[in-house]
Amino acid sequence: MALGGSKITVKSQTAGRAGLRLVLWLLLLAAAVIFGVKTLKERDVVETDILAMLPHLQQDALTSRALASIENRLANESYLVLTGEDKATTIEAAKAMMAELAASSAFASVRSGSELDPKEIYRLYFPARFNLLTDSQRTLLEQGKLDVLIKQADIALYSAFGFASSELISEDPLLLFPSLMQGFGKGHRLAEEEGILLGNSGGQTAAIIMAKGKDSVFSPKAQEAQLSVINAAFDKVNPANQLSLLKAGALFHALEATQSAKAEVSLIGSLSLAGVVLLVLLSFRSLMPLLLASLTLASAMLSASLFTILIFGKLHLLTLVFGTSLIGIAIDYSFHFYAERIGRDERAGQTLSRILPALTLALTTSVLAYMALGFTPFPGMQQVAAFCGGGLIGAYLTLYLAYPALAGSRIQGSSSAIKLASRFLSPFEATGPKALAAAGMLILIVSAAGLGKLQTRDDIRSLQQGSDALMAEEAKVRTLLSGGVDNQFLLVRAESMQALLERLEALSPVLAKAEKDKLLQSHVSLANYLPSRVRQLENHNLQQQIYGPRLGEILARLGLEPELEAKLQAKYQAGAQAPIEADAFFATALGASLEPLLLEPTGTDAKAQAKPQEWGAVVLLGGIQNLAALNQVVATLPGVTLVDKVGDISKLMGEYRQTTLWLLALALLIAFGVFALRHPWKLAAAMVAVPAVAALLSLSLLGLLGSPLTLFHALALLLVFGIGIDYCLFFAREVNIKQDEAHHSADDGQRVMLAVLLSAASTTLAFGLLALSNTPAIHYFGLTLALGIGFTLLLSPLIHTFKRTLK
Amino acid sequence: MGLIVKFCVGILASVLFSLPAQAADTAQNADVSLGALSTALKPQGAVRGEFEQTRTLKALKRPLVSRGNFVFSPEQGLIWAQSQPFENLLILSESRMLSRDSEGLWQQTEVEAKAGPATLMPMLVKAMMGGDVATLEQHFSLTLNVTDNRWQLSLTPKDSDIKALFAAIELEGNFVSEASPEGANTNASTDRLKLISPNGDASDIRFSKQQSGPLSEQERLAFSPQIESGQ
Repeated sequence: MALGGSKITVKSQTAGRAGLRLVLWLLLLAAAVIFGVKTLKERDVVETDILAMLPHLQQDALTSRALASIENRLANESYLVLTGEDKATTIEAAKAMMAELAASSAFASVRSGSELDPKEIYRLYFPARFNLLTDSQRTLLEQGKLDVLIKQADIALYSAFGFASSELISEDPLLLFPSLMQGFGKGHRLAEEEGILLGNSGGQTAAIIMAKGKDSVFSPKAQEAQLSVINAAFDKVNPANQLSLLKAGALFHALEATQSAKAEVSLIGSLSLAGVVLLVLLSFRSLMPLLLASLTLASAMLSASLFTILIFGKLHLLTLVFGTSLIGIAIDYSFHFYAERIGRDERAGQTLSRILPALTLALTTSVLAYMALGFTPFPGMQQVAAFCGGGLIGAYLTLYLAYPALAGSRIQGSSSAIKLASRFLSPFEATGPKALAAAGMLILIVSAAGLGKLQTRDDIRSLQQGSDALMAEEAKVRTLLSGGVDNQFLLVRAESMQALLERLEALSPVLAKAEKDKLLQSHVSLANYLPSRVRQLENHNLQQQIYGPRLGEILARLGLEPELEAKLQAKYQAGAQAPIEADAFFATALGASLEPLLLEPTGTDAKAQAKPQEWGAVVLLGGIQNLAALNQVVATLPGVTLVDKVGDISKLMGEYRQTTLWLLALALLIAFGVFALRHPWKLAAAMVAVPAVAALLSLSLLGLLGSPLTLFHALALLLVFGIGIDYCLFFAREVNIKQDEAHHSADDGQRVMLAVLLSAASTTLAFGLLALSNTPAIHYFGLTLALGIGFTLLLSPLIHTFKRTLK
Repeated sequence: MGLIVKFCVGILASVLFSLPAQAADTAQNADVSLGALSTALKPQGAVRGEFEQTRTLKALKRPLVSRGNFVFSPEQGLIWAQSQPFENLLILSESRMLSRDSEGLWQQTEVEAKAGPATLMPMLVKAMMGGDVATLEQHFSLTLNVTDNRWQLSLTPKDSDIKALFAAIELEGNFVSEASPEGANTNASTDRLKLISPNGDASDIRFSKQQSGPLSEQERLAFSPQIESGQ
């Protein structure tokens, strides 16, 4: 009786402790839910901007400002192209559509044509014509070939199809000004009518509208708002369905990414869940494990999301996609727990205390692996790491706090599942040294063949790509916009405004030659619009040949009235005092549109007298064909650098890929050290060898499959290590128990095998499904994880074998 | 942002402020006869002949008279080979304007834009020379006068871009009846083209010795010359 009494007391004490733990868990859960609801109500935490996930670059202040200026100019801009058979109808529709878009609150500004006033441009440049020359005019005058210019003027006068008019020749007898205007128009190859930018799309009129969104196109709410306004406006101006609409811009990429990520989250998430539910039901033949597994998953997801939001303030959609695979990892803890309980009539606390040491070690190694990810200066990976780490801690806490009170039900278990596990395990139990050696040889051969074929790819553009339809539509719009503006640009520095203009002028002929050599299609530089004072003075001096003593002869040759001579000479002399000034230029609409290209020294720079002022100018590049050659050509010029953010990030990705692989090697070494403290060193070596060989085999297989190695493959391998090491830990624990508690039945190996099989199945299920993703980054990640986990599953029972031989 | 011709046209427009009042659209039953003229003007293959052009610019003391040969092909464009008072060759196609002076120095103006005013001049020349009434009607109000076998077509610009270039354009020619195996066939030829600028500058071009027929191999080559030394 006394014995029974004491038993009851122990039981109630334990039950009391379990109840206390449950209350603590409930309190934590309640706090998490309250925090989550509050945060969600306060702000939009979901983010879809892929740029936010990319690593930060180290840049100097001027480069950052240039990038910010360019990004600001291009950000949130959508290009809409209306095409129709009839020009007038299309122009009218475009005007109406612009009005609709401008009236909505979704767009900050809507543009089409230049809205530049030609009269204003004339007023700016015509009075300064004595200080302006085109490149070819300057070359001719420098070579003293005035006759060629006179001849060209004569030809123009005789042409009925040119621009020579009485007014113009009285002011500009050699008709130099129209050529100058042609030069100004060079960068802009599109036509416009009635303020609408026009192109030609397969014989149809294409009207181009640019709409700048008020809010970031990466906010799902703004995406919805902008898209619905665009669609409504188009429906309104296109009642007869005679027009079609082409769209391009970050909005549509972001929208597609959001939609595909949402679809993937729900598809991969639900398939993964369904698979896990099926696995649990089949293995444990009971509803209780399923309920508790779901509880574990729910709290894991909750803590993962909250942990991420707590650290980053935002939750990226890609993180969620990666994170759905957390289901596969978090469920492992439940599997180990229930595999341990099959056929045993004991309290949940007892089961828990038996697996807790291995579980804690598993959590520690996993969290360590994620922390390694977190140290990459790569926001995307940091988020994934925080998400998964937070999720695992949530799952562990649920197991530790809630299971003792809730998971006490008896599990009969499925005999077929145990049989399956033992069947899987039996070949390993029979494995002899010969088979091991043969397997080793095979691994060596496969590795040698695969690793040799392994290639790398770090270009971030290949990591997220729109659908074919979207890319085709964008290519069409790009063609209409004659190449558009590339992400790369040139940054020119100098210590004063004038020095800057002179450097830009030195760059111009180099770029002109590069365009001729087909290295790029176009560029936009301030030098084409605002000549330096030095250049203007040179131009004025060169025109002395025209307006000097020979003017009378020139006028006579062209048949102009002789009294023009004195008038023109007076104007020429006065012209020296009327150069184009930067202030006057930037005050015009043309100048204002080009002002973002100029980076004036900031206030703080100006105060620091010791340091010279730094002026910067951006030269936009379009239709780059050969970036490397272009870089070589401009690199020789002083103060000119090519800024290629995409390229720099890609390079950085390559560096991280290598670092990550080194990190993996380091993690293996550290793990060996930690394991060696608890286990015989030979066993510790075997435990580390399993994930190492699995990683090696995964890499080889990727090489054989022709999948290029990216940072995401490397990161996935790091996670394979984190998860795979768990399997080894559980097998090693089984060995230890055997030594400690000899009375335990020989089915321990089978229990661990069942748990490992289940968790590998669920993990592979989740990650294998990630390989189905349309986003290459996620696909690579999923593929590598599926391969790695698969190999680990095949190799980890060797620990079991190894332990037997060790004995 | 703007564009070559937009700039030039705009600048011209600002130099020449005086725009003539737009003539009323007075075409009476014009469609029937315009259609007939359009059909009759359709060139069979290419047209070649001689031209005499008189440019009267107010700022110049005397008119500028030039002579030469031309070849017009609806597909290729226009070759304007001036021989008097000095040699100059002008090749106008839809994508570019090429000119070569007597020293053989080439000048090229790419018409890179695929639509709009940049293609205005080549487009107008093509429509005027080819009797493309439909195209002309898009940009001008047309008035047709027919007396006996002589026709006169007056064009008044509709859009502002063209108004800045021309106050009016006049085309004149003859109807020629030819007996052919299928029956009487009415053809028409253009023998005079007059371009009048808003400021009063005018170009009066007379065509003579016109012959229509497919392009010869030599003519075809002339449309795409080999430019050795582009300037």
